[in-house]
Amino acid sequence: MVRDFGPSPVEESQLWMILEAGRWASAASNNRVYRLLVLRDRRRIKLVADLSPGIFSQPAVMVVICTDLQAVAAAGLRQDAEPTVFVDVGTLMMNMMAQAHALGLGTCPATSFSRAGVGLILGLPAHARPEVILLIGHPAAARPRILPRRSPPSRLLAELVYWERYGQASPLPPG
Amino acid sequence: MSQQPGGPGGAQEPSARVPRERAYELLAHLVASAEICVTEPHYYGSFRLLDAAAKLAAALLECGLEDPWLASLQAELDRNKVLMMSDRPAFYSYLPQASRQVAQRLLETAGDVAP
Repeated sequence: MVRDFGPSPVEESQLWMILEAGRWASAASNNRVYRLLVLRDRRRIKLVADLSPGIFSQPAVMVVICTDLQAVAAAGLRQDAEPTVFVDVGTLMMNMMAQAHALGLGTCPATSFSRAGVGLILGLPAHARPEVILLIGHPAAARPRILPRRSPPSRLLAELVYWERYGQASPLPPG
Repeated sequence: MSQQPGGPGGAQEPSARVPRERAYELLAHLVASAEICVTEPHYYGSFRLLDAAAKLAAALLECGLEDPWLASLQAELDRNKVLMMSDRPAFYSYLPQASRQVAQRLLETAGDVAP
Protein backbone atom coordinates (compact mmCIF):
# COMPACT_ATOMS: atom_id res chain seq x y z
CA MET A 1 0.00 0.00 0.00
CA VAL A 2 1.28 3.46 -0.89
CA ARG A 3 0.36 6.63 0.98
CA ASP A 4 2.87 9.01 -0.60
CA PHE A 5 2.35 9.60 -4.31
CA GLY A 6 4.49 11.32 -6.93
CA PRO A 7 3.13 13.77 -9.51
CA SER A 8 3.39 11.52 -12.61
CA PRO A 9 0.06 10.79 -14.34
CA VAL A 10 -1.39 7.32 -14.73
CA GLU A 11 -1.56 6.24 -18.37
CA GLU A 12 -5.05 5.95 -19.80
CA SER A 13 -4.47 2.33 -20.87
CA GLN A 14 -3.32 1.42 -17.36
CA LEU A 15 -6.38 3.00 -15.83
CA TRP A 16 -8.67 1.02 -18.12
CA MET A 17 -6.86 -2.21 -17.22
CA ILE A 18 -7.37 -1.46 -13.53
CA LEU A 19 -11.06 -0.73 -14.01
CA GLU A 20 -11.48 -3.84 -16.13
CA ALA A 21 -9.84 -5.92 -13.40
CA GLY A 22 -12.41 -4.54 -11.01
CA ARG A 23 -15.21 -5.53 -13.35
CA TRP A 24 -14.05 -9.14 -13.16
CA ALA A 25 -14.06 -9.22 -9.35
CA SER A 26 -16.28 -11.78 -7.69
CA ALA A 27 -19.67 -10.35 -6.74
CA ALA A 28 -22.52 -11.98 -4.90
CA SER A 29 -25.21 -13.10 -7.38
CA ASN A 30 -23.39 -10.93 -9.92
CA ASN A 31 -25.45 -8.05 -8.59
CA ARG A 32 -22.70 -5.40 -8.66
CA VAL A 33 -24.57 -2.71 -6.81
CA TYR A 34 -21.54 -0.43 -6.74
CA ARG A 35 -20.69 2.34 -9.14
CA LEU A 36 -17.27 3.85 -9.71
CA LEU A 37 -16.57 7.55 -10.13
CA VAL A 38 -13.12 8.22 -11.60
CA LEU A 39 -11.42 11.52 -10.81
CA ARG A 40 -8.38 12.81 -12.68
CA ASP A 41 -8.99 16.56 -12.45
CA ARG A 42 -6.28 17.84 -10.08
CA ARG A 43 -8.59 20.52 -8.66
CA ARG A 44 -11.34 18.05 -7.81
CA ILE A 45 -8.80 15.61 -6.38
CA LYS A 46 -7.42 18.38 -4.15
CA LEU A 47 -10.87 19.34 -2.89
CA VAL A 48 -11.72 15.72 -2.09
CA ALA A 49 -8.36 15.34 -0.33
CA ASP A 50 -9.03 18.50 1.69
CA LEU A 51 -12.14 16.84 3.09
CA SER A 52 -10.43 13.50 3.66
CA PRO A 53 -8.27 13.45 6.79
CA GLY A 54 -7.24 9.89 5.90
CA ILE A 55 -5.57 11.00 2.67
CA PHE A 56 -2.01 12.19 3.23
CA SER A 57 -0.93 12.75 -0.35
CA GLN A 58 -2.79 13.58 -3.55
CA PRO A 59 -2.64 10.81 -6.15
CA ALA A 60 -2.99 11.11 -9.92
CA VAL A 61 -6.30 9.24 -9.87
CA MET A 62 -9.07 8.72 -7.37
CA VAL A 63 -11.77 6.11 -7.83
CA VAL A 64 -14.73 6.83 -5.59
CA ILE A 65 -16.54 3.54 -5.04
CA CYS A 66 -20.17 4.16 -4.26
CA THR A 67 -22.99 1.86 -3.33
CA ASP A 68 -25.89 2.69 -5.62
CA LEU A 69 -28.90 2.43 -3.35
CA GLN A 70 -31.26 2.24 -6.31
CA ALA A 71 -29.36 -0.80 -7.56
CA VAL A 72 -29.47 -2.23 -4.04
CA ALA A 73 -33.24 -1.86 -3.99
CA ALA A 74 -33.59 -3.27 -7.51
CA ALA A 75 -31.61 -6.34 -6.45
CA GLY A 76 -33.90 -6.83 -3.47
CA LEU A 77 -31.07 -6.34 -0.99
CA ARG A 78 -31.25 -4.68 2.41
CA GLN A 79 -28.49 -2.09 2.41
CA ASP A 80 -28.17 -2.10 6.21
CA ALA A 81 -28.15 -5.87 6.67
CA GLU A 82 -26.72 -7.40 3.52
CA PRO A 83 -23.00 -8.12 4.02
CA THR A 84 -22.39 -8.81 0.34
CA VAL A 85 -22.83 -5.11 -0.41
CA PHE A 86 -19.65 -4.39 1.50
CA VAL A 87 -17.87 -7.64 0.67
CA ASP A 88 -18.30 -6.90 -3.03
CA VAL A 89 -16.78 -3.46 -2.60
CA GLY A 90 -13.79 -5.22 -1.02
CA THR A 91 -13.32 -7.76 -3.80
CA LEU A 92 -13.72 -5.05 -6.44
CA MET A 93 -11.15 -2.86 -4.75
CA MET A 94 -8.66 -5.67 -4.16
CA ASN A 95 -8.81 -6.72 -7.80
CA MET A 96 -8.05 -3.17 -8.85
CA MET A 97 -5.24 -2.89 -6.28
CA ALA A 98 -3.65 -6.12 -7.48
CA GLN A 99 -3.83 -5.00 -11.12
CA ALA A 100 -2.36 -1.62 -10.26
CA HIS A 101 0.46 -3.29 -8.35
CA ALA A 102 1.16 -5.54 -11.34
CA LEU A 103 1.50 -2.38 -13.45
CA GLY A 104 4.00 -0.88 -11.01
CA LEU A 105 1.52 1.60 -9.57
CA GLY A 106 0.71 2.29 -5.94
CA THR A 107 -2.73 2.29 -4.36
CA CYS A 108 -4.33 3.13 -1.07
CA PRO A 109 -7.94 2.67 0.01
CA ALA A 110 -9.24 5.62 2.03
CA THR A 111 -12.33 5.42 4.19
CA SER A 112 -11.60 8.39 6.46
CA PHE A 113 -13.34 11.13 4.55
CA SER A 114 -16.36 13.34 5.07
CA ARG A 115 -19.23 11.60 3.28
CA ALA A 116 -21.25 14.79 3.42
CA GLY A 117 -18.45 17.03 2.18
CA VAL A 118 -17.20 14.74 -0.57
CA GLY A 119 -20.76 14.05 -1.68
CA LEU A 120 -21.32 17.78 -2.09
CA ILE A 121 -18.02 18.44 -3.87
CA LEU A 122 -18.70 15.65 -6.37
CA GLY A 123 -22.40 16.35 -6.72
CA LEU A 124 -23.29 12.79 -5.78
CA PRO A 125 -26.99 11.99 -5.96
CA ALA A 126 -28.69 10.91 -2.74
CA HIS A 127 -28.76 7.28 -3.87
CA ALA A 128 -24.97 7.15 -4.31
CA ARG A 129 -23.33 6.34 -0.99
CA PRO A 130 -19.54 6.75 -1.14
CA GLU A 131 -17.93 3.78 0.62
CA VAL A 132 -14.24 4.08 -0.12
CA ILE A 133 -11.90 6.16 -2.24
CA LEU A 134 -9.18 4.19 -3.98
CA LEU A 135 -6.08 6.30 -4.57
CA ILE A 136 -3.98 5.31 -7.58
CA GLY A 137 -0.67 6.77 -8.67
CA HIS A 138 3.03 6.38 -8.91
CA PRO A 139 4.75 5.96 -5.56
CA ALA A 140 6.80 9.00 -4.58
CA ALA A 141 10.50 8.45 -5.05
CA ALA A 142 13.16 9.29 -2.49
CA ARG A 143 10.74 10.56 0.10
CA PRO A 144 10.38 9.28 3.64
CA ARG A 145 7.73 6.68 4.31
CA ILE A 146 4.64 8.15 5.92
CA LEU A 147 4.11 4.98 7.91
CA PRO A 148 6.76 2.68 9.35
CA ARG A 149 7.02 -0.77 7.82
CA ARG A 150 4.77 -3.29 9.49
CA SER A 151 5.75 -6.61 11.03
CA PRO A 152 6.85 -9.43 8.73
CA PRO A 153 3.87 -11.14 7.07
CA SER A 154 4.88 -14.59 8.37
CA ARG A 155 4.38 -13.52 11.99
CA LEU A 156 1.06 -11.88 11.14
CA LEU A 157 -0.10 -15.00 9.31
CA ALA A 158 0.49 -17.17 12.36
CA GLU A 159 -1.54 -14.72 14.42
CA LEU A 160 -4.37 -14.50 11.91
CA VAL A 161 -4.89 -18.06 10.73
CA TYR A 162 -6.36 -20.86 12.82
CA TRP A 163 -6.45 -24.50 11.76
CA GLU A 164 -9.41 -26.82 12.11
CA ARG A 165 -10.65 -25.17 15.33
CA TYR A 166 -10.98 -21.47 16.15
CA GLY A 167 -7.90 -20.40 18.11
CA GLN A 168 -5.83 -23.45 17.16
CA ALA A 169 -2.41 -22.71 15.75
CA SER A 170 -0.88 -24.52 12.83
CA PRO A 171 0.92 -27.75 13.80
CA LEU A 172 3.64 -26.82 11.34
CA PRO A 173 5.73 -23.64 11.05
CA PRO A 174 4.68 -21.22 8.30
CA GLY A 175 6.13 -21.81 4.86
CA MET B 1 -4.43 34.21 10.63
CA SER B 2 -1.55 36.43 11.68
CA GLN B 3 0.16 37.29 14.93
CA GLN B 4 -0.04 40.83 16.25
CA PRO B 5 3.25 42.69 16.62
CA GLY B 6 4.51 43.57 20.03
CA GLY B 7 5.65 40.69 22.23
CA PRO B 8 7.42 40.44 25.57
CA GLY B 9 9.75 43.33 26.16
CA GLY B 10 8.33 45.19 23.22
CA ALA B 11 10.16 42.93 20.74
CA GLN B 12 8.53 42.37 17.38
CA GLU B 13 6.77 39.02 17.34
CA PRO B 14 7.48 36.87 14.31
CA SER B 15 4.42 36.68 12.17
CA ALA B 16 2.99 34.92 9.13
CA ARG B 17 0.12 35.67 6.83
CA VAL B 18 -1.73 32.54 5.77
CA PRO B 19 -3.61 32.82 2.45
CA ARG B 20 -7.31 32.04 2.49
CA GLU B 21 -6.95 28.85 0.44
CA ARG B 22 -4.39 27.43 2.88
CA ALA B 23 -6.56 28.40 5.86
CA TYR B 24 -9.55 26.74 4.21
CA GLU B 25 -7.55 23.54 3.82
CA LEU B 26 -7.01 23.47 7.57
CA LEU B 27 -10.64 24.33 8.16
CA ALA B 28 -11.77 21.48 5.91
CA HIS B 29 -9.47 19.03 7.67
CA LEU B 30 -10.83 19.97 11.09
CA VAL B 31 -14.48 19.95 10.10
CA ALA B 32 -14.20 16.68 8.18
CA SER B 33 -12.36 15.16 11.15
CA ALA B 34 -15.18 16.20 13.43
CA GLU B 35 -17.61 14.29 11.20
CA ILE B 36 -15.63 11.10 10.85
CA CYS B 37 -14.46 10.96 14.47
CA VAL B 38 -18.02 10.04 15.42
CA THR B 39 -17.62 6.64 13.76
CA GLU B 40 -13.87 6.07 13.96
CA PRO B 41 -12.16 4.41 16.95
CA HIS B 42 -11.66 6.88 19.80
CA TYR B 43 -7.87 7.04 19.46
CA TYR B 44 -8.31 8.43 15.96
CA GLY B 45 -9.54 11.66 17.57
CA SER B 46 -6.12 12.28 19.11
CA PHE B 47 -4.47 11.30 15.84
CA ARG B 48 -6.58 13.74 13.84
CA LEU B 49 -5.82 16.57 16.25
CA LEU B 50 -2.08 15.90 16.16
CA ASP B 51 -2.30 15.73 12.38
CA ALA B 52 -4.15 19.04 12.35
CA ALA B 53 -1.54 20.59 14.64
CA ALA B 54 1.20 19.44 12.29
CA LYS B 55 -0.69 20.85 9.31
CA LEU B 56 -1.15 24.17 11.11
CA ALA B 57 2.55 24.34 11.92
CA ALA B 58 3.42 23.47 8.31
CA ALA B 59 1.12 26.16 6.98
CA LEU B 60 2.59 28.84 9.24
CA LEU B 61 6.15 27.84 8.41
CA GLU B 62 5.45 27.67 4.67
CA CYS B 63 3.93 31.13 4.89
CA GLY B 64 7.09 32.62 6.29
CA LEU B 65 6.90 32.28 10.05
CA GLU B 66 10.47 32.06 11.28
CA ASP B 67 10.28 29.75 14.24
CA PRO B 68 12.84 26.95 14.53
CA TRP B 69 11.04 25.57 17.58
CA LEU B 70 7.83 25.23 15.58
CA ALA B 71 9.69 23.58 12.72
CA SER B 72 11.12 21.08 15.15
CA LEU B 73 7.73 20.45 16.71
CA GLN B 74 6.12 19.92 13.31
CA ALA B 75 8.71 17.30 12.39
CA GLU B 76 8.18 15.60 15.72
CA LEU B 77 4.40 15.64 15.36
CA ASP B 78 4.61 14.13 11.88
CA ARG B 79 7.00 11.46 13.12
CA ASN B 80 5.00 10.51 16.20
CA LYS B 81 1.40 10.80 15.01
CA VAL B 82 1.74 7.66 12.89
CA LEU B 83 2.61 5.66 16.01
CA MET B 84 -1.16 5.43 16.41
CA MET B 85 -1.14 2.85 13.64
CA SER B 86 2.04 0.97 14.51
CA ASP B 87 2.69 1.31 18.26
CA ARG B 88 -0.31 2.55 20.21
CA PRO B 89 1.30 2.55 23.71
CA ALA B 90 4.12 4.72 22.34
CA PHE B 91 1.51 6.97 20.75
CA TYR B 92 -0.29 7.41 24.05
CA SER B 93 3.02 8.15 25.78
CA TYR B 94 3.79 10.82 23.24
CA LEU B 95 0.58 12.78 23.79
CA PRO B 96 1.44 14.27 27.23
CA GLN B 97 5.01 14.71 26.08
CA ALA B 98 3.82 16.92 23.24
CA SER B 99 1.61 18.87 25.61
CA ARG B 100 4.53 19.47 27.95
CA GLN B 101 6.68 20.70 25.07
CA VAL B 102 4.02 23.17 23.99
CA ALA B 103 3.39 24.26 27.58
CA GLN B 104 7.09 24.91 28.06
CA ARG B 105 7.17 26.95 24.88
CA LEU B 106 4.15 28.95 26.04
CA LEU B 107 5.95 29.75 29.25
CA GLU B 108 9.08 30.79 27.42
CA THR B 109 7.23 33.11 25.07
CA ALA B 110 4.69 34.49 27.54
CA GLY B 111 7.15 36.83 29.19
CA ASP B 112 7.06 37.34 32.93
CA VAL B 113 4.81 34.48 34.03
CA ALA B 114 5.95 32.37 36.94
CA PRO B 115 5.16 28.66 36.51
